[in-house]
Formats: sequence, C-alpha cells, structure tokens
Amino acid sequence: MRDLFLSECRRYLHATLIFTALHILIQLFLSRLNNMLTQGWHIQVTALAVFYLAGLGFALHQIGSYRQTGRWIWLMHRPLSGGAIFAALTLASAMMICVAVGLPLLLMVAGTDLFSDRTVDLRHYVMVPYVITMTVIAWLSGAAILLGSSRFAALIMVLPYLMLMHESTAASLLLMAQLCAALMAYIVYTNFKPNRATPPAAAYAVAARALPLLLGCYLLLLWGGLGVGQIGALAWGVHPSSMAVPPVGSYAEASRADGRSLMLTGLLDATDARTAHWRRQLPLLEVYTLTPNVTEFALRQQLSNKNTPTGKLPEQNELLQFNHDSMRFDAFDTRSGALKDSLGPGGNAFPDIPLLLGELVLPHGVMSFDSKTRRFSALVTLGNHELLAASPRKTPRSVYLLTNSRMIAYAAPPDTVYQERYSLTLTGPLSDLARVDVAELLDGTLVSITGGRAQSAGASGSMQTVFFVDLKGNAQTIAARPVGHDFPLLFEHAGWWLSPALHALTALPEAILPSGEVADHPRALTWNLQRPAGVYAAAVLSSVLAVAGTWLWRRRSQYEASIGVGWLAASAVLGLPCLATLIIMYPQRPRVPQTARTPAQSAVSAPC
Amino acid sequence: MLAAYLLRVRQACCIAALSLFPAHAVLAYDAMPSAGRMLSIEQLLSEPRLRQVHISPDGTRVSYLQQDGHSLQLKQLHVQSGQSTLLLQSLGPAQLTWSIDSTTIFLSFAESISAVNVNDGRAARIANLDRQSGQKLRMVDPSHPHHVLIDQFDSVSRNYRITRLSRDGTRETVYEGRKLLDFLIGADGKLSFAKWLDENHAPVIVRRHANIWTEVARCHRLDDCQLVTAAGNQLRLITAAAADRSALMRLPGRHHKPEMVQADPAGLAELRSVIVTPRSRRPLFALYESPHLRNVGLTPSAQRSVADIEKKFVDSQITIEASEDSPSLLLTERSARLSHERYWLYDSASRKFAEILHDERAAGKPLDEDALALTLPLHYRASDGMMVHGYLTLPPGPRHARLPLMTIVHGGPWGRANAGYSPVVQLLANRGVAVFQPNFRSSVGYGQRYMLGGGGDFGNGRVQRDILDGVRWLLAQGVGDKDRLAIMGTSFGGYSTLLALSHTPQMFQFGMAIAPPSNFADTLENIVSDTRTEVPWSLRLKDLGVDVGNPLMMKKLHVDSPVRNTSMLGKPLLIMAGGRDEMVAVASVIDYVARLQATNQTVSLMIDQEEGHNARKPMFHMAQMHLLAQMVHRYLGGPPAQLPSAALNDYLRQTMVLAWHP
Repeated sequence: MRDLFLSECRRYLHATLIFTALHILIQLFLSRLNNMLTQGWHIQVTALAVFYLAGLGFALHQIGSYRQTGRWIWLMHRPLSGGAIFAALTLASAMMICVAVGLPLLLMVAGTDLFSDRTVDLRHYVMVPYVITMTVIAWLSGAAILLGSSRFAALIMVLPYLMLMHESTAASLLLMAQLCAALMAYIVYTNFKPNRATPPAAAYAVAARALPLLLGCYLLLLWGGLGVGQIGALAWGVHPSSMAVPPVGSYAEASRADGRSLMLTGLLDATDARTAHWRRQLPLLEVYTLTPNVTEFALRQQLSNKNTPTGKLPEQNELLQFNHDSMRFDAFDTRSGALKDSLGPGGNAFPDIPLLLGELVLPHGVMSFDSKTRRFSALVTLGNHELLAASPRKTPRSVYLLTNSRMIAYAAPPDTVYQERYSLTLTGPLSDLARVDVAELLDGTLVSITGGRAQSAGASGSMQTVFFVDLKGNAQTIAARPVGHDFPLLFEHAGWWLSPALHALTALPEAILPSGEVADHPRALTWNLQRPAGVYAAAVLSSVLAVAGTWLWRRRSQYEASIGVGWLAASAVLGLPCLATLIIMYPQRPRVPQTARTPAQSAVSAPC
Repeated sequence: MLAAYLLRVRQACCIAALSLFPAHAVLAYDAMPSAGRMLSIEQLLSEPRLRQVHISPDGTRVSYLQQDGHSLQLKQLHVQSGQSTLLLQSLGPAQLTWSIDSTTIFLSFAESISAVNVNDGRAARIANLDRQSGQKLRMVDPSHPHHVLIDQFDSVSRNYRITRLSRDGTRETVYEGRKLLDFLIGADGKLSFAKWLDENHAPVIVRRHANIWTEVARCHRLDDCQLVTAAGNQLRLITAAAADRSALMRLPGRHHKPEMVQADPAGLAELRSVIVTPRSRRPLFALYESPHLRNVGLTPSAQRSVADIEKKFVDSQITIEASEDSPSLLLTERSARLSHERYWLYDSASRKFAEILHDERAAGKPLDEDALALTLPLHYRASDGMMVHGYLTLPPGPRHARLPLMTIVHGGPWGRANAGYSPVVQLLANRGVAVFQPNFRSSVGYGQRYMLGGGGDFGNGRVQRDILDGVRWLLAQGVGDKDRLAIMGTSFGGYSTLLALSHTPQMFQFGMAIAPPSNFADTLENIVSDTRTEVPWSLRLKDLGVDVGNPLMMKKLHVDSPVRNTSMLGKPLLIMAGGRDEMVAVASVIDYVARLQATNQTVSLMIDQEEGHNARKPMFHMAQMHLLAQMVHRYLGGPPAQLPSAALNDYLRQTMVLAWHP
C-alpha cells in the first residue's frame, strides 16, 4: 500500500508542484488586487467551482489511466486488498490536494492575517480544510463516474449538491463536507473490485450505491416533470405568469397586480358602509407595498460572505467591513487600506450580523448610523422570537416593518426611536406571505395582507385579508377572500407525492444545519401543511406503481436473484424514484438475437 | 418705444384711478391694443442668468454669479473699467458675501464655505458646515477686515455658538451660550446687543456690558424687533410703533422708551428693512414694501438719491445696496413687467445712473417688458367699511368689463401678495384675464392691526368676505365679466378657493387649489402638534387671534369647512397636491376629492408624490400653468392652451391621478 501510495505521489509530483506554485502566484496576485477573503459570495462560489473542477479533472486523469480493463486488472491484482488499493490512491490524491490547494490557501489566509490590517476571521481559517474537503469530494466524484458501471454514475454529484449547498457556519459545513466525503469514499470503494460491472451483493453496499441514484432520480423526475409541465403551459399559452390576463382570483393575479388594484380586488365583497368611499380614494392614493425581501441573515462565522455587510463612508474615505470575530465593523481608510477604527453600537459588539438596507437591519431590530458622530442608535428592538422579514418601508406618515409574525406601523420622527402605532398579526405563515399593501387614509389606514407565495410548494388556504386600522390603532377586518391556485394540486405537491420519504430526505440537510433563515413564527406553521386527499392518493399510486414496476423488472433483469423483498419494500416506501434506481442498477437481461432464417427456409415459405 | 411708454402711462393712470374714482373712470380707459403675442409657459418661467449681484464695500467692484449651462460662474465687474473677469467656474448654488476690506468673496454652499481672493482669483475651502446643527454663514463681520461670522445651534445640548472665520480658515469663538435670534457686533469685535426669547417666547433685547448681559427692551411675540445698528448705548431697531406698524426706532438707554426715527410717510406700510453701510453700519435708507417697494432716505444725501431714483424709475421698484466709502450705490430694479431683475449703478456724487451687466442679463432672454402687464395696487372698502388692499393686473385692451377675472388668494393666511413679477399672473394677463390679488385682513406688511383685523374668522366669514368684497367691488367698477370669474390659490389660498366654490359657487366658473386644506380647523390642530418651532404654534396662533382650544371657534371652522359642504360645490375644481406635504396631508386632499366624487362634482386631481407643501420642481409649476391655461380656455373662454412639451406631457401622465372631467 505504501509503495502504491508513494508511486502515485511520485507520478504526480511535478504536476502538484507546478499547480502549487501557480496557485500561490495567483493568490498573491489576487490579494494585491483585493481582499479575496471578503469578496461577495458569487466570487466565492466561482472559486469553489474552480477547485471542484480541478479535483474532478485530477480524478479523470488519474483514475482514467486505470479504467481500461487490462490496466484495471493489473491494478487490482496486486497483493493488496481492494480497500488498501483504494486507500493508497485516495490518500495520495488527498495529500496532493492538500499541497496544491490547501497550502496556498493557508498561506494566503495567514499572510493576510499577519501582514495586513485586512479583516480575517476564524471562519477564513476553517475555509481552508473545507475547500480541501470539497476538492477531495470532487476527486471522489470523478472516480465514481469513471469506475461506475452506468452513465448515471454522474448522479453522485447530487450528494454534495444536496448536502453542502447551504448557508451555514463554517464549522458545521466542514463537518457536513467530511460526512459527505466519507459517504462518497465508501461508494467509490464499493467499485474497487476486479469486475466493476457486477452490482454489489452486500446490503449496505447496495444502499450506498443506490443512495445517490435515488436522490438523483428523484430530482430528475421532479424537475423534469415540472419543467415539461411549465414549458408545455407556456407553449399552450395557459401559463398563469405569461397569460395577458391572469386567471381571476389567482395568485398570479395577486402577485402581478399593483397595490391599488389588489386592494380594490380585496374590497370587492366588503360590506362595510365606508367601502365605497375607500374605493373612490384608492385610485388616487399611493399604495405602499412591503414584500418579505429579507429571507435570511448571516450567521456568526458563516462560511460564505452572503449577507455579510460591507459599506462605504464616502465623506470619510472609509470602507466598512464586518468582522465575525469581533462582531463589529472594521473601518479601513480607502486610500491606504489601514485599519482606522472598529465600530459597534456603544462601542460594543453587535448581537447579530446586520444587513445594510438603508438602515442596519438586524434579526431583532433596526439601527441607524450617523457617519459624522459614528454612533449607532437603536430605532426598533423586537422580542427574541420575532425576526425581521423586510427592510423598513418609509412613507410620509409612517415606517412599516414586517416580521415573521406581524406587520408593525411606527410613527417615525427623524433620527429618533420609532414609536409603535399599531401592529397586525399576519394572517398566515410568513413563508406563504406574498405581500402587504398599505394605503394611508385621512382617518386611518387600509392594510391588505396577501398570501400564496408557498402555494407552489404545496401550501393551501392562502387568503387576502383587508383591514382598516383607525388613527388610534384599532384594527377591523373589512374583507377576506381566498387566493386561487395557479397550478393543479398534483403539480404543486409533486415533490411530496412523488416520494414523501425522499422529499423529507432532501430537506434534511437544510433542517439540521444551523441557518439564519427568517423562519415562520410559530415554526410549526411551516410543517403543518394540509395536503389534499388527491395528493395522498397520488403518493399511494406512485408507491403501488413502483412496487408493480419492481416486480415486473425483477423478472426481466439479469440480476433477478439480487432483487428481493428489500427492493419491493424500498419501492413501496420510496416510490417511483426507487424503481428508476433499480432499472439503472440492475439492467435487463441481454436479448438473445434470433437466428437468421436460412435461404432454404425462405424458399419454403415463399408463396411461389 | 413711444407706444410702449404711452401704454404704461395710460395703464398706470387708469389703475390709479381705480382706488380714487368710480366705474366711469375705468370704463373710459382705452389702452393700447394688445401686442397679441402669446407667451409660452417656458418663457414666463425662464430663470435669470444673473444671481447674487453684490457691490463690494469699497464700491470698486460688483460680484455676481452667472449661469453657465448647469453650473454657475463667479465673476466680478470692475466698476471703473466696466470689464468683467472670471474668478471661478463650475460652481453650485451659493450665497455670496464680500469681506469688509473688499479683498475676499466668501461663497457659502450648502455644506461648506470657500474664500476667493478677488485680486488673484485664488480660492480655498475654509470650512465645512455641519448641517445637522444648522451651521451657516450668518453675516460678514463688520469689525474685522476679512472675516465672516458663522453660527450653529446644537438642539441636544441647547448650546448656541457664533464663530469668527477668517479667510484663511482660522476660527475664533465669539459667543457661546443661550440661543440668539439676532445680534450686533461692536467695534471691539464682540457682541454689543443681542436678541433672545424669554420663557414666554417673547423677544428680549439685551446689551452686553463688561461681559454681563442686561435687558434693555422686551417686545411682543408678534413683533420681530429687528436689530439695525448700535452706537454706544444707543440702539436702532425695527419695531412696532404703537403696537401696529413697524418703524425705525431709537432706544436711547435701558430705562428709556423707544423714540421714533422713521415711519412710513404714507402711513400705510410696515418697515421691511434698513439699508446700512457695510462697515460702519450707518443707516442710509428705509425700505417699505406696501403698496410697492419704496425707499426713504435717512440722510440728506440719501434723500437726494431717493428723489433721483423715483424720478428715473417710475414704474419699477428699486432695492439699494450701499458701499462704505464710495458714492456708488447698486440698484436692483424689479417690477411686474421685469421677468429678470435689472442692475444699475448710481453715482450719488454725479447723480448719474448706469446700467450694468446688460449683456449678461440679455443672454438669459428676459421677456420684453411691453409684452407683460403692469401690476398696480388698489384699495377698496369691504362690506364692514374697512379699507382693504390688493393688486390688480389688467391685460392690455379697452373692454375691462368683458374681461374674465381671476382672483388669486395668497397663502398663509399670514402672507401677502406684492407687485413683483409673477409668472402665473403674467400668464393670465397674456391670455386676456384680469387678475385680482387681495391682501385681505390677516395679510402682513400693513401693520398688526390690519393683520389681526380678521379676528381669526377663517371660515366662511370675515376674511373670506374681504376677498369676495374685492371681487364685487371690481365688478362694480367695471372690471371683469361677472359670468367669467374664477378663483385660485395655494395653501390657505387653496382653502379659500374651496370655500368660495362651496359657499358661493354662483360667483365663479372654476377653481384651482394647490395644497389646499379642506378643513382649516384640522390643519390648525395639526400644526399645533408640531413642536419643532422656536415659538410654539399654539402661542403663535393665539397671538394671531386663533385659539385652537376655543371650541366655538373650531366648531365654526368645522361647520364651514369645504369637506363638510362637498355637496354645495357647484363648479369645476382642479386640485394639485404634494405627496410629502407635512402641512396638508395628501390623504386629506384625497379624502376630500373622494367625497366630491360621491356627490358627482367635477373635480380633477394632480399629485406629485415627491413634492411637499411648497412645490419646488420647475415641472410642477409648468404643469400648474399649463392646467391653468387649459381651464381658462375651457371655462373662461380664453385662447386654447399651447400643446405641452413631451416632458410635461409625461409628467402630467404620471401625476394626473384623476383626469379631467369637463
């Protein structure tokens, strides 16, 4: 094993050294241009994609050289177990990735930290092993693709996509990446046997091989089906988003309407005596719309820079960069790059990472910043369970805030703490909230709260409710109407009925990873989706079809013996994606070509 | 030229006759035929290219800002040679102040102050202004050669500071402490007199002696008590004489009563300002505004100058700026017929006038004076016998009795109309409409008794009757066709327009109201809640005869309010409003319009969401004039409105939220 390990290292020694040197030069060059550690998340994703492609390319070259049957037999017929051979190749590759990818990154992070004033957080150091792990994952993906017996082996890349494409803390994502790498390593390991075409026999090996295929087939079927449906609707001119006039009462109508029209629609069935007066005023009024545009806040030590604020103070020639370690803003001189100040509320740390949306929007409050006095002032402070869901909306009379449970109206004297005038509890979960429209009248305010945003994910019961709030803040419900669905139920619930189990599994990483998501309050609302009976029936049908298909396929497959009760049970639980996985893993028996008829037989059968 | 002169003279004679003679005098008036040229709105609203024209204290130069594309140029005119030189270019809007030694011009921008050496043109920013504390250049320092005084007030610490700022940027604190509303600088460079508000928000005049402030006079809250000049213990100030019209008074000492120095010889107007020499602050001229800008000399030499000026400028109004040691006076000529001001130098030694900056002014394409109508003062007796003042603008032509007549009500109501150039008035006159601008009781400039004469009766009462009495009086004098009357106004003027259409719809054919309160009681209650003013509105309103706490007074306002009488409004109405109006909430305007719609009234509404109570966008004013011309055409039989420009058309499409319904 040691010899194989060393031999692989020697084989790629020059390439590794050249890659490392080039990588160091590029990092040095980019660092001279800018602080790469604080670049936006788009650049971060691009850089990660480059490393991923490098790892993938490395695997394609390295494993590709062993892929030919003769070379593979030569490799596997060493006096070593398959596991040892796999370990030697993988460890050698991982070590070379550490040198070529990890070392330059570590030098860049440590160099920036030690030799400049630039902001370097703990998460930046954690980023180094994360990128190494991701590159190893890419190498494992390449190895799995080359060693897999099917062209669908590429679906293994679904695993890192599902497990790692999330906003979370650097530590938790590193842990998840290592888990992903371990899982993928095991999948690749199952291929390290002389005859790669034979499916594994052991149940756990089958499960490991099947997992990425299951998830991949689920996503292919789901996205493919939805895509075909959407394109078909567009082609037929019946897609609600593209119709010149959207269906009356539908969510598309509500989301495409301006505030005035939507509020007028909401008042259609109102019986209040003042309705006629309001209806006359609405076309003349400015109607202000709040949308839940804040979906997540950055977490402390979050791996990516998404939602980590940066700003400029042009008059002071300063650049502000948020520091996750100190939880304050580092203020740099834009001309010299020198660190001039560290800014926090009252000289202290921020409780959370703010978003810069005109004001400083925190999960539990809003702050203002006076660039001249360099003071932060709290304008609004919310309770611990209430999260802000939109940037403050200022009107001539008020400031409106949207949280995950309320819409709050404040009187807003300039530069002072907002004075709450009233608040309205949201009529549904935030995740389903599409918009809140506000029309300020002489004697009060009309507020329309419209749901339907989560209909495409299966939410039901969305409503538009119009309230009148008088000048004392007393709210009265004026009208309510259901918001119609844009698509058929089976279309909106497709992700669930196709495979309830895989639906839950694909959502699992997002659920267990720490997240700055602005979640519904109370959170139970999100999970309390009432699925219609037809959707349950579709799920059962999917399951039955999968079981029947599995039974039929078993008889046609060349591995009939391998497809037992376990697969039937799995098909019942996992639905049609399981059947698709089965078909990929256990192809049908090769057809025996019929013997060509002889000329004599032809002559006998000829009519003449 | 001769024809134009004759037209002016005959028109002036006729209008003067309005207040002196009954209708036959007016009907006998047969002016020159109209020039017939229809002026465009863009022409009427054209901005002058010259701004901030000031003479140096030594009288040798005149500095000015000249529009150059989208920026401004700072130039100086050498009085002797008549040559202009460029000092700076690419400037933004700025206030221009000469240093006392005439070597430096201070340019005060919104956020900074720069100093320009007039000899070599070198300029430098010498201070940044803190807008939050209201820091601003207050005045030139008369005690120092090249210094100005800036002041600021920190509303949190309640600290007020006056700082002396040199042309090289060095600073010296002159005063720090209680907030001052006004002050005078002594020869020693320290404050000699100051004005602050006492605990009752009344102005108190104090004198500094050995660093101790001693009260020397106390004024009524309605009396501004403007400090003019001081010599030793003696103070000259502008204050109300006999609790009525302000005049120039002398305050000999602490225990003496003020003595009259100069009051309006015509016994009509309040003193607006006193023109003093820049350094020694010697009073030279007293300036009165009513019925038009009038100067009165305070020294024999000044009296001679005024006589010359009045002889030279018969139809125009002149404001004067004096130099210290030179006989040169800078005269700024204004009139209803001068769309751009004209500048003159008057040599008080040779008693000669010379127009300056003629070419620069002409480059701005001012309108031909002969194409514009004269605005002349009138006064009439209201139905209760009180003499009420106002202005009338007549388009050229002989048949005044058949002219449409527009009444323009000024805002406030504690404001006033004047005889200066007004694009709206000239537009109407150009379209053949006579314009009446009453200075009804509550208007300023005629003394406190006149201002308080309305008794706070702002419903369909005394103040409104003053306006309608004026219209009826004009009709009785043979001015205006009773079947072609209209009314318009901004803010309170808009409210008066709504009142007129609600309570006297038979009089007017249409109304145009800009930022109008539909219930003045609500507006008063709203402004009382505004705590940002120096003197609380509740006190100020009480002084002005309006007691918001008086239920009877408020009830009458509520009952008379247009919003309570929407069914009575019988004539077409156009309302324009700003979405950011803090005085008259746009929601109240919309509520009123919706109520009018409910009673099937003909109403149009334009809202610019970015405008406040006082519209600033040129496009807003352009739209106002265009819509006015349309209504004049539709309801008063005026000429068709010119087609709007593409930009104006776009603007109207965006802002006209309730379209025209004839």
